[in-house]
Amino acid sequence: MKDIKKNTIIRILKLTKPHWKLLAGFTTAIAFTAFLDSLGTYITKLIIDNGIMVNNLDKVIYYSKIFGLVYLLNSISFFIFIYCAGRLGEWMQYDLREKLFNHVQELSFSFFDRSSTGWLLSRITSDTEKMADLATWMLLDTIWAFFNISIALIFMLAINLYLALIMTVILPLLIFIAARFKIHILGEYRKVRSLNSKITAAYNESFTGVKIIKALTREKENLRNFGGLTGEMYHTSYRAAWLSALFLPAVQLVITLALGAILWFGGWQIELGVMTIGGLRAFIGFITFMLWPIQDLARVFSGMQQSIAAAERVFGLLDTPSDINETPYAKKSASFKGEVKFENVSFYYKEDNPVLTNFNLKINSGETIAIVGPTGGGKTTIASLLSRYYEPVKGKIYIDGTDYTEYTQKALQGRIGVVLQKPHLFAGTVLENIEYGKPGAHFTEIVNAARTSNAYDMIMSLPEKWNTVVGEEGTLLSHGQKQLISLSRAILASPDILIMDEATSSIDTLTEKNIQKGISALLEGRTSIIIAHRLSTIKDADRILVIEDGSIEEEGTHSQLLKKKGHYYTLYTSQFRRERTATIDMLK
Amino acid sequence: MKKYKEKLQQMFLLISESKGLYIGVLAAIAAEIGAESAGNLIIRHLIDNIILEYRGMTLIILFTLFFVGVSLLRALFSFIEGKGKAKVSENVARNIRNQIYDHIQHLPFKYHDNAQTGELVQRSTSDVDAVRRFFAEQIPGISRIIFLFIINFIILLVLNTKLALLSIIAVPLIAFISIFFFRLIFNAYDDFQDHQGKMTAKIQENLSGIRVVRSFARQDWEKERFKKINEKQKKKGMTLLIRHTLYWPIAHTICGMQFVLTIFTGAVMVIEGTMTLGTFIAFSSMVNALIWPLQELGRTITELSKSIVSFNRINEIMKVEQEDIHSGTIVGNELIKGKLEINNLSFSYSRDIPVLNNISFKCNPGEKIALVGSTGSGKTTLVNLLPRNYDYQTGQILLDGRPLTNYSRYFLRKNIGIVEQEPFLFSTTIKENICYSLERAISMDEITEASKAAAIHDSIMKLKDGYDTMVGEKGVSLSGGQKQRITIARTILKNPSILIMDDSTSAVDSETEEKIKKALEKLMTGRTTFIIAHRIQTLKIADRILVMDRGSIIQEGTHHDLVKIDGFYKQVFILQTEIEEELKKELALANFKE
Repeated sequence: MKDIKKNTIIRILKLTKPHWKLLAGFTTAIAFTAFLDSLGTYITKLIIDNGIMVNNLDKVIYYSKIFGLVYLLNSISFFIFIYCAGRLGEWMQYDLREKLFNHVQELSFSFFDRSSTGWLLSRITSDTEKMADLATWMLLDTIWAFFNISIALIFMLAINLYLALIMTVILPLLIFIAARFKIHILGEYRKVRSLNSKITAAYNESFTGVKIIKALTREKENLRNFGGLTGEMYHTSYRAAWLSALFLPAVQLVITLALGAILWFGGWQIELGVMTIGGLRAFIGFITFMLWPIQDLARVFSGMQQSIAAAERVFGLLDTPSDINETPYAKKSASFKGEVKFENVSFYYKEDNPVLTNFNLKINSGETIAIVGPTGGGKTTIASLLSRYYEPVKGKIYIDGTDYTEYTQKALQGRIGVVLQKPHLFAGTVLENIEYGKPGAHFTEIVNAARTSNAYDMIMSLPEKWNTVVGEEGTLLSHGQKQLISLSRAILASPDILIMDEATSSIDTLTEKNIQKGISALLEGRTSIIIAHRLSTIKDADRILVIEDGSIEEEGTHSQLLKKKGHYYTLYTSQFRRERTATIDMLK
Repeated sequence: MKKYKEKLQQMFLLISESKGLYIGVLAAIAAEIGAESAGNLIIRHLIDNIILEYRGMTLIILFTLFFVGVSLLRALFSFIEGKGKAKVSENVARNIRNQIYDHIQHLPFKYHDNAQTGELVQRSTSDVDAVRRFFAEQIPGISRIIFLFIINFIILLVLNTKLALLSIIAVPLIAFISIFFFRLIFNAYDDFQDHQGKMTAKIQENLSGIRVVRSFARQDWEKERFKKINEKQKKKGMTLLIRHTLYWPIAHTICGMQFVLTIFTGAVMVIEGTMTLGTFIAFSSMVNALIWPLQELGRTITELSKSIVSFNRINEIMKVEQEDIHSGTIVGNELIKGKLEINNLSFSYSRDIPVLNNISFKCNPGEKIALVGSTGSGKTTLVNLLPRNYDYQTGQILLDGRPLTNYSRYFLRKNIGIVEQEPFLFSTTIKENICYSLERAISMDEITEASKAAAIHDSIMKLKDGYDTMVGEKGVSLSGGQKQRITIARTILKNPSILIMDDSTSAVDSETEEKIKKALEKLMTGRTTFIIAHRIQTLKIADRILVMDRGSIIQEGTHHDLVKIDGFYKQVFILQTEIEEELKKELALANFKE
């Protein structure tokens, strides 16, 4: 456990390597500051002992000048450590964000199935910040604490050996107290955080379902439950807060005991003539100064734990390999006629639950295949395997007779177009979204693509035409409009093989007709595989595959399959018929 | 400035019930600082009158004990401060959390139509926390700086007026620079955060669209684009850093020079004999305590103003008027028969666009009415008026012969059951979801009976924890059909006199569809029912059909009546029949070829 933490810290520190000058800069500067702080206290001693006590004004002037110089130097040192640590922090965050973002772009799809967008987002944004904090401000605090205490101890030893010995007894006691508190307080605040997330969840649910709550007149009961939660929060955080409030007085008490011992012992030593008043004053100064880093200890430690936890998550993510590896010397560019062959392909997401077993399929160049069948039967898997988002566990996939792993993923995926069930647009304009299919495409190409997909008139009817902003994930457009833009994008990309996951949700007839035209244009002259839901698409396909439990149950054209009176017949008569007759809204 | 004063006054009203305690907290801060200064004065006395006079060990020990005693007091005050402010601020946080939660539950539908959950949650969490910190950190922080200054300065004045005045010449300068710089720093910080929000949005978009990125093989382009945003973020961070980097050394230099000046002048005074050595030493400690905290003044003030902004945001919500759910002349236990009479009813959400236009119809207790029409025809709006979710502007709705507005909203909602198009379950057990609307204790028998009637009992029993299974985010995920049947069971238990049902189109297999149909039929028996219909099949169940278009009823009658009259309904029916005919033909053809 400890080793893991140590390794994580070392790994974080290794990240500073490209900016080692900044690290060296602030480490040196903070050590220098600790030294100057102690020196300042020591100069006060000199002013008292060598100036005031012997009525020597020249010495007072001399030491005061040095004192001023110490402050000036310290300000410069301040400047250096704040600047170096801050700059290092910004650089580290920058490096980490870039590393993570770029890494995530190449991860396999199975990874995205497992991890939510929100989870990934926190890794890239907040965790990187916490990691940088550890290598900068927390490291700075720790170094400062170390130098502050040890340099002060050296000065104290130089002034009076016996008094310094008192401090060496007190210090371990202080550190012990600080450590005890740390464990306690951290535990308490962990409870507070967990309650806090419960409260946020309660808010979230009640505000989302507020209309239902009103309809069911649950307000009173809800407030009672929520009041229980906030009551618990009150007690827990109150307890955590006053326990923390105990920490400072406890440290102060120990320090007071030390000061008391020093006043008593120091007073005696002065009367004996072995110590000076200035020395006593310096001791008081040093001890008050030591209080600061020790007070901060609890905060720094809890911050460190959070940083280490963040780093473990981030390193975990960076260490996640892509499940799909490129074959050595894979071809970096591809161009296909579009003949596809699945040969004895087996696949599973989880070992005990096979999706495809010894699956065979041959698709001719230019053929349009419609895949139908119940959910979970393996339709989507076939499409994902062909785009190499996943790889077969067993068996091979050939395109134009060549094993498709002989191409790089990028080369392959660049030639295979995918149109998803939920059209995803990026925040930006309509034009930018279509251009996404072929960066740097000429405007006339884009216009042609839009005309082919039947999106042109729709785009022209938008308030800003091509420059209409689509909003985050395209929320400002209707589903049909988004679908048309995503089709234009796919047409512009002009892939050799097309995979389409047809939308199940119902849209009005007019839009459906429009989209249908776009789809037909896209299918023309390309090998196409459609996970089909719409009757018209299915009817027009060259071949229909009925997939159930990972194998092809039936295969043929629409009329062939109807005649068979098998699975397809049942599907057609129940499912499609119902879908066709379901919504009256469609008739508008 | 005056505006701030008003806001501050409003904020302090939040702690009016624990005013005494909070004043105690501030007093404890003053006492703590007083004790610290007293400690310095004891050291002064110890040096001047005992050590330098060689008065012997006994007195040294006595005054040392004295010093320890004062420090004990200081620790005690410090603890009182910590505990007191924790109590007050946590209590404030609890009260606001409860108030805002309850308030939001009671805001009218109209408000919730336009509100964003994320925004509401944000205000209820981080803004509330900002107000908590106002009392837990900022007010004590600023009080500490002020008390440190006042108490130490008064003592210094008494000890040596000339040196005391000389020791604060830099104070206005420090205060000014601190306030000036922190305004700059917070501007840069706002800018930084603003850009961070944009960067986060970009990353989120990339992540949620990662499949599109990959399918167009656009990773490199995405990386390039992110690099630019990332670089800008770094730049914003650097700007913020530079302002910090400038402020702290400048403040440090000024404070340092002030300190050196005090020390130097003090030393000269001791040599001249106008001040004792003990006073000099006490002075040096107290000037430290007076000057250095002033560096933080700007930061504390800026944070304070941010808390005021948060408080404002909470207030914006609290100012919105709640929906009155209890007033009405009919609130008692009488039963609703369910007779409805709607006369010349018109309604619009906002003034200019009418949604319902002069609607009139009657419906008898127990009648089943289907509402048909395209999206936006006003079906949903019409049924939303029945539980008084919105108030109609002209016309009248009579329930059992009395105007709807005579009934309290609470009473109406208790007696109207709604089966939503998109079933919403709360993240608790299935059992609690089924009993959700009821205030009385429900026996397990009642629950299973309702579940059986809703055709969900068997599915629930198949789950490992049965009725105690948690649903929602942390529990099992149920299918759309299962969720819908749970909401039906919930409505059966509620036993409403009037039922509103949205006949959803969510895709379920035919077996489940059959089950849901049976469950619904059972639910409708004996209740006045409004069905927002999407399917022809459902229409056939209804006693009467209202065809709506653009806020008006254009046709009315039974299925049999309506198919005979030329109009919208007949048109729909013919199209429907045509499709069926075509299907039959095709199947016949397939059979024939065989």
